This record gives sequence, C-alpha cells and structure tokens, in this order.
Amino acid sequence: MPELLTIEGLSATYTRRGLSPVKALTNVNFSLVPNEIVGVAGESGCGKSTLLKVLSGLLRPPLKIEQGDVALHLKGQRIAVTNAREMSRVRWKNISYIPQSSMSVLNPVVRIGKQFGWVVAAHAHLSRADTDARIRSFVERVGLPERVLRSYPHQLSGGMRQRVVIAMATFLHPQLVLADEPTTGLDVVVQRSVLKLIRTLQREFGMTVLMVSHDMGIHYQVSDRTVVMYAGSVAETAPTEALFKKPLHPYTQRLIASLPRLGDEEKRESITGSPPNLAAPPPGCRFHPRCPAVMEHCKRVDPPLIEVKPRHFVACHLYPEPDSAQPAATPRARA
Amino acid sequence: MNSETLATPTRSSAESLLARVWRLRGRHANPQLVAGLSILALFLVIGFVLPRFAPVDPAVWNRLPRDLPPSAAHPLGTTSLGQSVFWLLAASIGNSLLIGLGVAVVTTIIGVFMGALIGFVGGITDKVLGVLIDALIAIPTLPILILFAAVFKGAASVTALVIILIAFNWPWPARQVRAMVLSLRERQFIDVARFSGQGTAKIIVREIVPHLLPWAAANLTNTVLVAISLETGLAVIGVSNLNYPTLGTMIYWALQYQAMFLGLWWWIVPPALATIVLFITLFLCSSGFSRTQGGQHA
Amino acid sequence: MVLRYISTRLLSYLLIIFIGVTIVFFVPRFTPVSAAEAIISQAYSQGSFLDPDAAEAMRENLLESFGLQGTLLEQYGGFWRRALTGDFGPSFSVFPTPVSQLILEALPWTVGLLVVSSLIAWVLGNLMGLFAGYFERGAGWRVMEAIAVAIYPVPYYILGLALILMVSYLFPTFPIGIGGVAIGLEPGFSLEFLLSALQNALLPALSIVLVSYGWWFLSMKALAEGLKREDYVVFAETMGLRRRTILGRFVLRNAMLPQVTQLAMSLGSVFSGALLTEVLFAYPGLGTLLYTAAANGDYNLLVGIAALSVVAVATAGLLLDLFYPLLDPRVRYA
Repeated sequence: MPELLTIEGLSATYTRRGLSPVKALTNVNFSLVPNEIVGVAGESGCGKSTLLKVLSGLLRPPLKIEQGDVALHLKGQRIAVTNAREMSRVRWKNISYIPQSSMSVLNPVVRIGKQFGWVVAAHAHLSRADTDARIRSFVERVGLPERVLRSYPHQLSGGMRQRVVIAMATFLHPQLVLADEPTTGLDVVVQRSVLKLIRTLQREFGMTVLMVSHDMGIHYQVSDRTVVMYAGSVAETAPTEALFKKPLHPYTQRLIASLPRLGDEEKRESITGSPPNLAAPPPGCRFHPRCPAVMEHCKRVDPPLIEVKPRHFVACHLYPEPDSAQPAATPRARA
Repeated sequence: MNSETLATPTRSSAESLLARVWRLRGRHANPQLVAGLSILALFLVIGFVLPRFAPVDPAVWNRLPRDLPPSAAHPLGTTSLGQSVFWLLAASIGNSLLIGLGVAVVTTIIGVFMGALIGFVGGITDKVLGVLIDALIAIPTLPILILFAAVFKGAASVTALVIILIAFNWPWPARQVRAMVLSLRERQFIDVARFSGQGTAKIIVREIVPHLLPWAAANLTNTVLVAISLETGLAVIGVSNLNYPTLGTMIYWALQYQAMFLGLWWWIVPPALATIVLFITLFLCSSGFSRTQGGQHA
Repeated sequence: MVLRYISTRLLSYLLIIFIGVTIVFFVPRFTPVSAAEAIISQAYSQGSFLDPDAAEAMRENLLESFGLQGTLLEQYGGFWRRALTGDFGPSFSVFPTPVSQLILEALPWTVGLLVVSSLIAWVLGNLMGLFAGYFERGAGWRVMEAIAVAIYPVPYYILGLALILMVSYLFPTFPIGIGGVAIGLEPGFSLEFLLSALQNALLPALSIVLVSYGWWFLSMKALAEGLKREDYVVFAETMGLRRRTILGRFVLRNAMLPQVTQLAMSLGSVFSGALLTEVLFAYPGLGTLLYTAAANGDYNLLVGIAALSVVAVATAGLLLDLFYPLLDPRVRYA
C-alpha cells in the first residue's frame, strides 16, 4: 500500500539560549498508510506532543528538526512538513488536527455555526447557502442537534464541544487527522462515544488518524496499530492486538500491566522511576535505569528498532536480530 | 505545621522582590525599572538635597531682579516675581514629590489594609465596603476636589490637601488588594494558618500583607504619580495652596504672568518639562515593578 | 441572568449617584465657618451692585446653601429635592442667571470634545495596539510603544501646555484657537461657526487624543499579546482561518470585552482631566465654567457642576455597562 506519511530518522530538539538542548525526538522511524488508526502511546515527556508539532508543520522556535525527513504523500505529490507554504496549502483540507482541550479552542463570543462557516470558507469555495446546508447535515451526522450551530461554546457540554471540534476537523474529508489526547477531561461514558465517533468517521471517509494518548486503554479500544514511545524514541510498534497479546519491550509490558482490568482485585503494578532528563539522556538504551531486565550491554549500546515478527518492531537487546543481513543501522518501520 | 514553615512563603516573597530588583544588574535586567529608578534618584537628589544649598529662599518674592534670562549667576533666569527659576524648580520638585509620597504611602497602607480586611473577612463587610469602594472609584474626583479647595479659597493648608487626596484615592489599591486576597485565600497555606488557630488579624498581617509587597511597590509609585498629577491639576487652575512652591503652582504663576506670551520661556518650560519627565519616570518605575512580580496581580 | 446583571448595574448606578451627591452636599459643610463666611461676604460685596431685592434673595439663597438655616437633615432633604429637579439656584457670579442654564450652555462643548476625542483615541489605540501586539516583532511597533509609554503618563493638561509651547515657538503663525470659536461668531450651524469651533478644539482634543491613545495602545497591545497565545486563537491559526478573521473576530473581538470595561472605569478620570484641559485653552465647556466658578467663589455653580459631573459620569458608565452584554454572550445566556 502506498504510504501517506513517512517519518525517517527524525530527531528534533528544543534549543534555548543558555540551556543545553533537550532532545525531544531521537531517530524516529515509522510511516502511516491510508485508512488506519495509529495510536502513539507513552508517558508525558516521551515526545508524543513534539511529534504532533512536527507532523502538523507548525514548527516554531525553540523546536527545531535536527535530522531526518518527514513528508506527506498526497496524490503522488511529496510535501515535506518543513515546507511552510505547501503545508499551509494542505493544512485542514488534507491534514487536520483535533486538539487536546476543546474547552478553550472555540472562540467564546461567537456562535458555533459562524465559526464553522469561517473554517469552511477559508478552504472551500461554496455558496453561503450551500455551506450552511452542508454544515447542518454534517453536524447531525456527528450526533449533534442542529441548535448547537446557534449556540455559544459555553452553552455546550464538554462532549458536545469535542464533537463540534471533530466535525470541524473532518468536514473537509482530510486524508490525515492528528488527534492529540482527544478525550482528555471527558468522563468515561462520553469518552467512549467520542472515540466511537472518531472510529466511525475514519472508516466512513477512509481517513488515517494518528491518535496520541497516554492511555493504553484508548489504544486498545480504537487503534489498529500502536506505537509505543519512550524518551523520544520508538520502543515498540505492532498491530494493536498483537501488542496487547504479547508485548515485547519491558516498557510496553509495564504499560499494559498497569492497566486496570474488570474484576481484578489485585493491585496494579506501576512503573517505578521516572522518565530520563532529555537534556542529558542516559547512555545506551534510554530505558535501562528503569528496566527490570537490564543487562550490561544495555548501558552502552542503544538498541536499534528491528522487525522481530511480521509488522512487529521492537528496540530492545532482549530480542536479537533474526537476520544479520537486514540493514539494522537505518531500520525502517513499515506496516 | 509550626509557624516557622508557615512564614516561609512570606519571607521568600519579600526576599524575592529584593532579589528580582537586585538582579536588574545581572542577566535578567529590566531596563524600564533601571531607567525609572535612576532618573527617580536624580529627582530625589534635586528635590530634597539641592534646595539646602539655595542662596536665597526661592519661595519669597522680589529677592532678585525680575525677568532675567538664564546666566551664570541665575542658571535658569528669574521670574517676574523676582525668584530664581533654578532654585524654585528644585524646591518645587521636592515639594511635589513630598506631597506625592505622603499621599502614596498613607493611601497604600490604608488601601492594603482595607482591601486585605474586606477580602479576608468577606460577608456583609465585603458587600458594604465593596459598594462604597466601587462608588468612590466611579465618582469624578476633580470637581469635588475643586469644590472643596474653592471653599477654602487658597487657604487650604498642604496637609488638608494631602488628607483630601488620600480620602479620594485609597479605594483604588483597596479594590485591587481585595481581588488579590480573594485569590490568595484559595491557596492552601492560609487554610493551614486558620486551622492552626491564628486570629484573623494575625493571619492578615503575617500571611497576606507580605504577599502583596511586590504589588505594593508598583502601586506606591503609581499613586505618587496620581497624587502629583491631581495636585498639579488643582494648582494649575489656582485652587491649591498657591504660596507653597510645587510644580503645579510654579506653572500657575508662570501662566498668570503670561510668561508664555512675554517670551519668558525659561520660566514656563522648565517646570512643564520637569513635570513631563517626572511622570514618565514614575510610570517606568511603576510598570517596571509590576513586571518584576511575574504576573502575580490580577 | 441578563435581568440580574442589569438590575445589579442599575442598583450600583443609583448608589454611585447617591454617594457622590451626598459627598457633594457634605464636603463644604466640613469646612470651617470662617471659609463659608469669606465666600458669603465676597458674594455680598458683589451683591452691592445689585438692587436691594436681588441682594436679599441672594443672601437668603446663600444662607440656605451653606446650611445656616434649618437642621442638617432638612437641608439634606432640600438639597436632594433641588438636585433632582436640576435646580441649583442662581449663579452668584452671573446673578441672577440660573446655574442650570449656565451648565446647559457649557455641557455640549464638553460632551462634544470628550466624546469625539475619546472615540478617536479608543478606536485608533485599539487598532494600532492590536497590530503591535499581534505582530510583536517589528521595530516600528517598538518605536510606537516607546512613544506611547512617553505620552501616556503625562496628564492631558500638561501635554496641552507642552503643545501650546511647542506650537507657539515652532510655528508662530499657527492660529492657536483660544475659547470656543473666534470672537463675535454667533452659535449656529453655519459652516464658519463649525470650522472655527473645530479649529479651536483642535489642540485640546489633540492633547486628550494623544494621552488616551497611549493608554489604549498599551493596554490593547498587552491584551493582544496574551490573546494570541489563547487556545482558540492558536487553533484558529492551525485551522488556517483567514488572517483578517483571526485578527478581527478572534483577537480584537475578545479584547473588546476588557477594553469596554476599562473605558467605563476610566470615564471619571478622563472627565476630570478634560476639565483641566479646557481651562488651559479657555475652551467654553464645563471645565472653564468650573474654573470661573472657583475663582469667583460661585458656590451654587460649583455645587451644580460637581453634582452634574457625578450624574453624567455615572450615566455614561451605566450605558457602557448595559452595552456590555451585547458583546459578551456569557453574560447574555448563562
């Protein structure tokens, strides 16, 4: 299948004068194909949000790409995310974004319908009446009553607001939607229905959704494939089912083990220690100070990301490379 | 928790204000405040030290020849009333600053305590005094000040003037302090203090007031500005105490004797210029102070 | 909610007027009797030019005004009665013209000067502040900020004085208008009258505009700098909305809320400052009237202007407060 987005050897840093640079992303490789939901998991500070910033092409100092290549492939055309002009042309039309907090992303003093209209008007050439009619039917499609268009943000519940934002992000049928913790701050019932909505729209339009969340439970529910990040690198990536059935990386194992399960009275184990300081990351494998299976080797050599099973990649010395002929130096994760 | 740990935020906030101002010389210089404080220091020297060396009392009329242009003997010339403009200006700057500082210090003290009190006590005290404060802020003070001063007809002593200015100005800091106290109240250490059985007054003095120090410095300089501005306004239209040399009365006499149209620029330009520079200086200090506190105020 | 908002505002409006007028009533009564007597004797000496009947009427009125007749409560009640009917008695300096008539003649000049110059300053300051705050980097905006910082803290009348000095030394031929219009012009809607009024209002208006402009510029700049980091502005930029929409409907629109509140709050000091500016330019508004009243010890006129000032400023504030819910839907529908 042709790739929609490729990330190759991406390293990015936050550089502030007088402070040592923070290596937010180190040698990240993976790609997205059309029509899938890919989850990105990891603790806060693992590079999830930085990754989203790079992908959306909204790079502002102090964030800087040090190395690597990130590109969109739209209708045979290749667009590097660093190309600001091209990115602003395709943004929202081809690649859109669902932000973390829908509480504050809508203009508090303007009716929803009007804000929605501005979004459409900025990207599509439609008549006023046509725009209005399409917005109305789309809003109903995402499960909202028509009156929300005449409402102000403060009159809607958190779930309704998030549905509005999802509608705005998917109205133009983009090929790629970046979702940044889209259900934070919603209660569990609403959270489920919002996730279901994203899933439905994704299937219907054949979009690709990159879903960033610290919550492994969410990835279990909606992601086709999950990328586990640790300290700015990919630790493991696999089809979600395989990942949850048999996680390989000790970090992934801990993440999944810490999930609460129904009818389970046992106390969940949580991961001890805290993520490393990315201004001065530990040598070797970045997880080794917290790893229960740490070996001498781990403290010196950074494990490459290798495909140990079909479509299942892991960066850990516990899993030796099956075939030395494979170019391990520049691994390319492909699904 | 013992009182020592409770006092920690208190002390550190006072310390950090000093530290922040001190750090001006270092990396995180706040150029506004540095400039403001330096020029203000110059004004203080001109206003309070220089007049001690005046050869003749500049307030007394007809001690010198009239209408002399600037010369070596009279650096800024003389007025139509036979005063040395240079020494008169120095004394006026001193007196204006004195009025401003007097009003500002008392106003800030009253404002901080009233605001802290009603913010902390809350309830009916808050409602009643809150309404009074809002009303006093909304009322245009100048016509009432003029009414008051006119009844005295120039006989109002400077002290009376200062008292009136204080009476009309304390609600501004009180309102801001009240808002700050309300947000401070939410913070935990106040609850801790209350549970540990300290009285309301004690809590206000020990826990809240010191938190307001950074803001108080900004407010103080700002009130100096407002007070000098009001006194100058009253003086320029001749309802202040006209025998007391201030920047305002100096401008008043210059205008009365048509200095502008008679070409005696050395009489009218120095006080006007000094007033403008003084206001800018005070504003730089006040906004500089409010920047050092790192967005703590509302 | 709207009803509650309006009733709260109305209540505080009435309270402001009540407290303000009460202060106007009591302030002169705190003064030592000697001061009151000084004014009365001054008024008497002016009264000696009048016929005996008029002088007697004036004396009566003075005694009443100064609270030398009846109990304090009776005087207070009488004061309110007169204040509510707008009857502040005859002017002493222009006896027997009623104070209300003098005020009504002066009021349009002040309102015209204030409304026009405040509006210009508010609109210009907000627009320029918007751009300066949104496009932070740019030497031009820095220079504008420095100018605003240098002008804003200076009171109108001092700036007015500086303007007079500058204009009269730098452009000696510039016709500085003193007074309302050129001498001898009859009020009316003739072109000549309007042009003359405009010319004479130019410098006082300019000093008010410059100072207020500085304030609105600085506060709007600070607001815009904060607003452009608000989630909804960042999200609007991410969605690729038109820049005009973002500036106008997101940043400016939301900054209007605090700016209107600020405008309502600043009315009192703007009004006070404008009164002094008028005096400096002998502009025939309330300020100059107040000045002549103070100079002549025209007690009735002073009280009338002070009371009217309280009511006028409070009313203007109320109108802005009532306008606010139209701007903020969170007040309208909650």
